Amino acid sequence: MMNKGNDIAKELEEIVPGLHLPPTPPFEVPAGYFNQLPEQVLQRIRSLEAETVEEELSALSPLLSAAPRQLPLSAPEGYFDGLSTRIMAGISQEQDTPAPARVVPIRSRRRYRLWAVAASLLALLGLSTLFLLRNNNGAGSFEAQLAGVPDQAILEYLQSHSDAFDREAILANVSGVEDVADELPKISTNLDDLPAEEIQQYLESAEWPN
Amino acid sequence: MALTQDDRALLALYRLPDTRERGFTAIIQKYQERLYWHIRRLVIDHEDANDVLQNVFIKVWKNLEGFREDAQLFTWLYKIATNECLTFLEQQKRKSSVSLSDIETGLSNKLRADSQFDANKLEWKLQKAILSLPEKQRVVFNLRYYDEMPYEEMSRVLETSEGALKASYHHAVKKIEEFIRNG
Repeated sequence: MMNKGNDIAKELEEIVPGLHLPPTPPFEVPAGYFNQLPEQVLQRIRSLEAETVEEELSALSPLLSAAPRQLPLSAPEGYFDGLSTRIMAGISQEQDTPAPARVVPIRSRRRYRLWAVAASLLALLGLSTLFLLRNNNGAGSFEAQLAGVPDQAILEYLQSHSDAFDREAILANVSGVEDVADELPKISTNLDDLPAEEIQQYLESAEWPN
Repeated sequence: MALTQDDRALLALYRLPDTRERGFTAIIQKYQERLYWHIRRLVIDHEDANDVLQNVFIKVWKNLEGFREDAQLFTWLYKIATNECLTFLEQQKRKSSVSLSDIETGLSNKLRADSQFDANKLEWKLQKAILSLPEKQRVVFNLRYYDEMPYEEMSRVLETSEGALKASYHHAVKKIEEFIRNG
């Protein structure tokens, strides 16, 4: 096994003082490995250079090369005699049999039903929301509800749910915050680059309409 | 490698509607034994080999129309047979929900169930040793050792580089030798 030189050990001590790494790796080589290696390599070369399967095998394993290359298994007597007839009969039978009706697995129908139920619920929810919004369309009511939402919740929602397109749409549509829209580009053109503290500070310092 | 003259004539028979079945019967008769033994060595049991072999020829019948004549028919048949064997062994594994080593044990049991089985004879020891190899290495060993298939052809059957096949055969031989010596 190779030992690390003193210089290497000193260098290591200078880099990481007191580490004292073991000088040799914990690997072991099988007994006699290096004695056998040259013969193994030559054997491999001889097998690569062999021209026939037999030469290759005798280079790789004289034991196997000397063994009888006879399969001890046997097929039933006369098996091959009528084989082609039996196979052709099978093919004819398959061709004569009408294709089976398409089987729709129960699971997929169940899944289809689940999707139908989910879609109906979504449609119902959408219609209810629309109905409620139409009935409570007073701007005061919506703004009063919005005022009740804590700034932190709005901030967290915007950070996790909005992208550049949403931000442009929000700034373009929310009335009374045109000055905010003017100020934002001075701070940063991308909200993702802003630290949360900076947004929090801005929200706290700005005057929001009630 | 181009199609042999004999295979070209058989395919010509197959392609004419009037002689289609006669041509296909001749193809079966020409290749049935070689394919049977290739399959049998991998699945061990005769009944399993018979099922797989018949499936192979039915697949060949269905796909022979699309066979390109720039390849060897034999290579193409071997490819289908090998894939069918590997699929069969995979299905066996799934059916019994057991590990690969249990499948090997199952194949060893089938080997022992053979009426001619003799644990002391070298040819049976060799079969047991072959079964200890991973499936694809087993295919490589069998194709080389029993069928004496050139690596170039094997490369087309198994869609693997010749270098990888040579290395695989080398490792297989070494493992088998060790198995026999220690077994």
